[in-house]
Formats: sequence, C-alpha cells, structure tokens
Amino acid sequence: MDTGSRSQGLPGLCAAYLLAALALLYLSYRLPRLLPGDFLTALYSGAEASLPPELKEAYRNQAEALITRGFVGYLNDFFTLDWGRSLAFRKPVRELIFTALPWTLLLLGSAHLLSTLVGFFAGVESAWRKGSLPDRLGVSLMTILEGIPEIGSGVLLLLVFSLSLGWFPAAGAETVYSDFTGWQRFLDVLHHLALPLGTLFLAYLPGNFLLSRAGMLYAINAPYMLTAKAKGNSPLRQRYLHAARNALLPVVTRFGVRLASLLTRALTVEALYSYPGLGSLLCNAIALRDLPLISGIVLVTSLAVLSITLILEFAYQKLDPRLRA
Amino acid sequence: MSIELHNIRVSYEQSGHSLLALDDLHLTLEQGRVTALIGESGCGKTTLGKSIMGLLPARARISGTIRLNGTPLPLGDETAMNRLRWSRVAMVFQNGVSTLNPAYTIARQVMEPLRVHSGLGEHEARRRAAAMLKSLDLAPELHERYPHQLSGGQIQRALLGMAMILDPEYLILDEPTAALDPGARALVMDLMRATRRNGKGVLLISHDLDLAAGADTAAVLYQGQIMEILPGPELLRLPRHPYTKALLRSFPGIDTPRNLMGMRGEPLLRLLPGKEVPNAPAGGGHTGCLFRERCPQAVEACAREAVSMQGNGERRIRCLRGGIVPAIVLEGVSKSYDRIKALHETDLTVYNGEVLCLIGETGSGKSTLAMIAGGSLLPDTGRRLLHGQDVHMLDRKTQNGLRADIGFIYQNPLEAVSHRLNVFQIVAEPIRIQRAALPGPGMEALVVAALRDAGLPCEHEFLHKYPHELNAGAVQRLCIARALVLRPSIIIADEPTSSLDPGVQAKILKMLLELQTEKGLTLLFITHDLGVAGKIADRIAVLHKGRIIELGPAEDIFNRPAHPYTARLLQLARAGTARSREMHTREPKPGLNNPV
Repeated sequence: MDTGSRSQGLPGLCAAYLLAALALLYLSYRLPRLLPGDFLTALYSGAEASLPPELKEAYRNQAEALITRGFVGYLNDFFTLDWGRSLAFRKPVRELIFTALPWTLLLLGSAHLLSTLVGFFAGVESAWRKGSLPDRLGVSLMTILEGIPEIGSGVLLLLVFSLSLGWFPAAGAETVYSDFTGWQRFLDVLHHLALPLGTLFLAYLPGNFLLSRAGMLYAINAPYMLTAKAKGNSPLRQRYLHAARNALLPVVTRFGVRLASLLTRALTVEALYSYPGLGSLLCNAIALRDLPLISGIVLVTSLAVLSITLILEFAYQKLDPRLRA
Repeated sequence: MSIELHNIRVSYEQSGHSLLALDDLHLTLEQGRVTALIGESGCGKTTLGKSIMGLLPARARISGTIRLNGTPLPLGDETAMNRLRWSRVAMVFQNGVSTLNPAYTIARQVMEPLRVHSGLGEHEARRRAAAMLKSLDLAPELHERYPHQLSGGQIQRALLGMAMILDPEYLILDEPTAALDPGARALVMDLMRATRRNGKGVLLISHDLDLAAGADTAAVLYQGQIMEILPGPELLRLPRHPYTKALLRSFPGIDTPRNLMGMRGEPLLRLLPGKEVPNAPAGGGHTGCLFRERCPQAVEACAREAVSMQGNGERRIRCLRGGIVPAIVLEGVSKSYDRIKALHETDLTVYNGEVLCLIGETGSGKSTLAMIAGGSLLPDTGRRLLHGQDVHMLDRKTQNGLRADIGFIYQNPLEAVSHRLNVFQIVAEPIRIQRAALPGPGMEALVVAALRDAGLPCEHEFLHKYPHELNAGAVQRLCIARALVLRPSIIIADEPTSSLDPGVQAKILKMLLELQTEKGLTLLFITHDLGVAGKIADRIAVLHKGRIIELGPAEDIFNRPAHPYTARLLQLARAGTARSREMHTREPKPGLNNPV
C-alpha cells in the first residue's frame, strides 16, 4: 500500500501484487528444500511423532517428483489445486484446508466485521459526546480491554460461561453426531461460535473504537464541520455524512492491515476452543511436523491476505478522493 | 428589514478564566447595504459572524439579542436555528479549501442545502447547483471535482455559489479575498455589488481596508468593542478614531508612498478571572478605553472612565476625547522681519500622533512657521493653541511646563550643540532648565534613557565625550536624545537630516519614525526634500512665498496635486531623478573598451 504502487494506476498495481504472489509461491516451493541434510530427519528430530518407513519413502518420492518437475510444474500443481498429500492425516492437503477454511472465515469474518462496525459506531457516538460520562467510561473500559490478550479473556470466558455456568459448549464448531438441519443447525453453529467470537470481538473492539474516536475527534474540529452546521444540516447528518465519513478512512486502513495479523491471533483462540478452523489445523500440523500441510496453509492464507489487500486498495481509493490522482 | 445586534457580549471559557471576545456591541445590518467589519486578527470579527449564525462553540457564552427582521434569533433551539441557517443567513467562511468536506465533490456540497432545506430531488438539486456554479464562471467539468483538485480562486467561487444557492436574505463574507489574486477579488466585489442591488444585506468581514472602503458602512472593531462606525467611502480619508488612523498607517495601500509604520504595542487579551457572570458591566474588568495603551493621545481619564459610543446615525465613535484631537492649532498667524513678510496669515492644525511634513523651497517660510508652532517665535498676529490651550493666556509656570512637551531637532547638528559641553551636559540641559529632576541618579536615568532611545551608547566614557569627538550622525542622534529627554509628545524637526549623507540619513529617519510610532509622538517635520517627505508623512503641507498653498494626505499630494506649484515641484523632483538616471544608462559611445 505504498504511494509508488498507487501512482502507477490500476495495471501497475495489479502487476505489483502479481509479482508479490509469485515471490510467495517461489518461496514456498524453494524454502523446504533449503534445509541442510535429509529434511525428513531434520523435521522429526526431537518430535514425539515420527513417520512409518513406507510413508517416509512416499514423501521422499513426492518431494523428488516436485524437484524434477521444477517451479513451473509446481505452479501448475498449485493452480490445479493439487497441493500434495498430508502426511499425518493421509488426505489431500486441499481437502483439509477446504474443510477448515469455512469455519475460520466464519469466526474471523464475523469477529472482524462485528468489532469494526460496533467499534466504529461506538467511537463516532463517543467522540460526538466528548467529555460526557459515557464517553469517559467508554475510553477507560476500552483502554483496559486493549491491555488484555485474547488468551486471557478467552480462558476467562471459557471458565465462566462454559465450565462454570455451562451456557455455552467448550469445544467444537457444532454438536457432533447430531442431525440438525436448517434453523436448528444454524442456532447450533451460533451457539458454538459465541465464545470464540466473543473472545475475538473483545480483542479487536478496543482498537477499532479508539481509532474511530480519534479520527472522529479530528474530523469534528475540522473547519468543514462548521460549514456543515451552518448549512442547516441536522446533527445526525453532520455526524455521519460529514464527520464520520472522514473518520472512516483510518478504520478501513486498519481493517486491511489487521487481516495479516488476524490468523495468528485466531490460532490461539481456535486452539483454546478446539474450533476446527485453519488455526487449529495449522497448530496440529506443526505439532505433527506435517510439512505439506503447513506450507499449504501458509501459502493459501498469505495469498488470501494479499488479494484482500488488493481489494482494499481499490476500496480505499473509492473512499478517499484525495488518493485518486 | 435588518439584522439588529443589541448589546452583544461573547466570552470564551477557558481553564480558570474566560476570554472576552465581544462586548457592548450594537450594530445593524440593513438589507440593500454592505456593512464592513474591520480590525486586526483576534479582535472578534469572526466571532461576530458566527454569533449571527448561531455557530459559536460550546465553551462560548453569549448575551444580548440578535433580531432577524425584528424577530429574536432562537439561539438555544438548534432545530429552529437549523431552519434559519443558510436559507435566510448564509456565510462564506475564511480559509477556503479547508471549509469544504474533502470527501464530496463540489457539486454535491453546493446542492446539499437544496436537499436539506428545500427537499429537492437529487436531479433537480444537481441541475440548480450546476446553474449557480456556471453563473460564477466555474466550468461544468470542474463541478464533479473534489475540493483538493481546485485552485484557490475556484474554491472561492464554489463557496460563494454554495452560500447563495438558497438565495438568502443576508450574506456574511468572512475574509473573502484574503488569499486571492486581484482577479478573484474583482469577482467578490462584483458579487457584493449585485447582492446589494438585489436588496440583500451583506456583512463583509475583512482586514483589507481598500475592500472595506467600498462598503456602505464600515465598523472598526478593536478587541471586541466597536471603536468607530463611519460611511465606507470616508474610511480611508476621514477616520476620526486614533485606532482607525493607526490601522490605516499599517495598511499597504496602493497609493500610499509612505513607509509602513505599524502600530505600537500589542492588543491586550481581555481575560476575566473565573467564569463569566451574567449582566457583567461593559468593559469586562478593564476600566477605561481598550486602546489607551497604544493610543498616541491617551490622557489619564482614558484609563479611568468608561467609554461609550457617541454620536448617532452615520458616524459614531468610542473615544473619550471625541476622536483624534489637534496637538497644535495655529489660527491666522503671520510674521514679518522688518518689512519682509516671511509668513502671511496662516491656519495650521497638527493632529495628535501624525507626521506632518512642511515642504517648500528656501525662504518659503517653513522654518518660521515651525518656530511659531513650537512657541520659540512669537507671531505678529493670530493665536496658537497647544493641546487646546491658548499658551499666551496662561501663567508663566504653566507655560514653561507646556514648553517641555515640545522637543526640537535642528538642521545642522554641529551648530545646535555647544562644543564646550560634554554629552551628559548637552542632554541634561533641558532638564536643568525645566528643573524637571534634581541633579543626581534621577537625572542620570533620564539622560541614559534618552540616549538609548536615540540609539547611542550610554557608558560612562561616552557621557564624558565632547561633540568634536563624535561624527555628524552621532551628534544628530545626540540632538534627538536632547529633544526626547523631557519625554515630550510633540517633536518639531527642522531639516534634521539634510546635512547628513544618505546612509546616515536613512538610519536617522528610520529611528525617528520608530520613535514616533513607539512613543506615539506627533511629528512636525520640515524638509525641502520631496523624497523624504513621501517616505514619512501622513500629511504634507506645501509652502510657497509665506503661504500654505496645499495641504492634504501624502498620497493625494503625490498622486493628485491640486496646486500648479506642487505639481511643478513634483515634476522637477522627478525630472531630476530621471535626468541623473539617464546619465548612467545612456548608450556608451563606441571606443576602446566598447568595440562596435
């Protein structure tokens, strides 16, 4: 999101992102084979898990085939969704990722969206009432929340609402062996989603709130707000059409920038609640030294982050006319 | 139909105290007229504009009534105010581009009031906004641009279009030309004219005096109080308040030959301890006139007595002394030496705080007139008033006291000092004569202060030097110190720099002007050099054969001389300059060093 790519216009921007994607792919192709010595031995040294000999052989052959086919072959495999087989789960990596991805998207997407929306509107309203009791309370509360890591709040929520009160399930994404359909299934999923979502929401909310509030305070004091008031706009129009419209920018930037760090944060929460998403999968893959799965997940997520950043780049130019040269 | 501001008082609450921004303010903005509000920055001009729109920040407290066509403004009721805003009173804010929302196109912002107030549909509102912008010479391809993509002049057009889109009855223009080139300025002036023709009321807030002079009425605001209200056309020519005069002296008018003089001191901040109390007396903690510290004619009473607006109708003024008062008035004075009439019956008034230059050739009677004005020469006929008092009617002691109020500086410094006295004795002489201080530390302090004012060293060795040890410039400074030592309010300087070389002359003139501004002196300056007169004078009197043949503001004398003799003098001076210039710029003849 640097200014250089912006000035190149649309084709230049896409080319830059394509180049970055290629670099990522090449790294994932090249990196595992940079390990010194026999990478399988290195991989499993000191680990509790180990591979049976026939699997070792199979994996060696798989890696060998990859090298002989070269980077172009690797690319071909990647785009035809042939991402290799997981050693530990004995399934195609693609299948594993595509099973976990929807859950992660559900959890991350809803937490991110919800915290951004709630944070933004709460920030706007709080800034509008700057100095009032709700504003002061909000700021103090958010500052405290900002200091609690999701592992802390997650454990706390789990203890209180699941283990002690028993209101919510402690693990999983839906009730196992149930044949819920339609509404029942939807409610069941929500029921399981509540605690991990709540944990992530509490983790993301303060940043969004404080950022929106700060941006809003800046916008409220801008000279054009006096014009907006002078023109006879109602307070609601002044607040949202004129001030919040300009305070939106940093929040959207944060939305994009945050995406990259989301996965790592979700990892903790998914692991904590045994939520069957990419985070848990990655966790397991690392514990089991499942290299094809690890590189598959890392590659897919980084490419996803890259493409979302590209989309945001366009959204950003749409929002802030000053960026359109 | 008018907006009437009655006894408006506005203060801003700050931590622990409040800042009084406006008080005792009465002003009427009539429809079909342009009312200009002028004053330095921070004097409360914009606060007044915002008060009318109900746009003061939350920490502001306002009292008094504002009537819009007879109905009081519902200042506390936001909903009711929102109906009035922009539809009846619209405002163009200062600082151009930052007053437009960066996130919306020009067209959208111009049409917004139509949608909010008139409930027009998107299409119709857009059409009308485009028509308005086009009438202001803003090309259609610019309408869909964002504020940051337009130039300052285009922004100003958009702001004006936005203000007029609902055809309001009153228009407030806050510094509409501050950042504009002359072309865009002409547009603002045209627009003001058109608005006035259409029977709208315009409040023009500006520090541009030329622009304000085009208004029907000008109100001069100083630190929250109106000091003077006068017809716009008279602003530049006949100001009566010392502050208005001082503003004029600081304004770089296009016709003014003189150097900018500025104004002494800084405006005082009107801080009130604690919170604003309702129904506080006018003046806000400061008794007396707000301008007195910077005023050249302030008297003791100015600090004591409350000053209110006096006069009615077109001209009103807030000054205890009724406006700028004369320092010296000469009525029908004449003088003959033997049978030669050096000065015919002459009237002359020197106003407080002004620089009046007497110009004329040798023998025109200017020195005689100056000596009569200074009281060192008795006229054969006529009378002389010093600060409004006929000096000859007073007893001797008062007369002597009044004499100390005038300092003299003479043409030839080396002749004007006794070379038997040292520096200290020369400067201290007036003190001794006037018995103003006893010999000792008091006297020495006065001498040192005067020397410092005149830009001279004041070490012990210097005080014991004799005039022949100093150069001509330093001796003239010594004479100036001597003139200043009794702290007079009037200085009469007779050709004080004509015997000095241009470098020293420039320094001495600059110093004299600075002293004049900083000490609020009245300066009667006699010179035969038109160039010097033009650089320093507020007014110029031209003497010829013992009569004042022309007297007026320096710019009039220079640009529109009325008397043929003045015109001739100017012509000679200019021809002289042109001739000397020609000598240097003439084509060099081909020769050894200039091969063809």
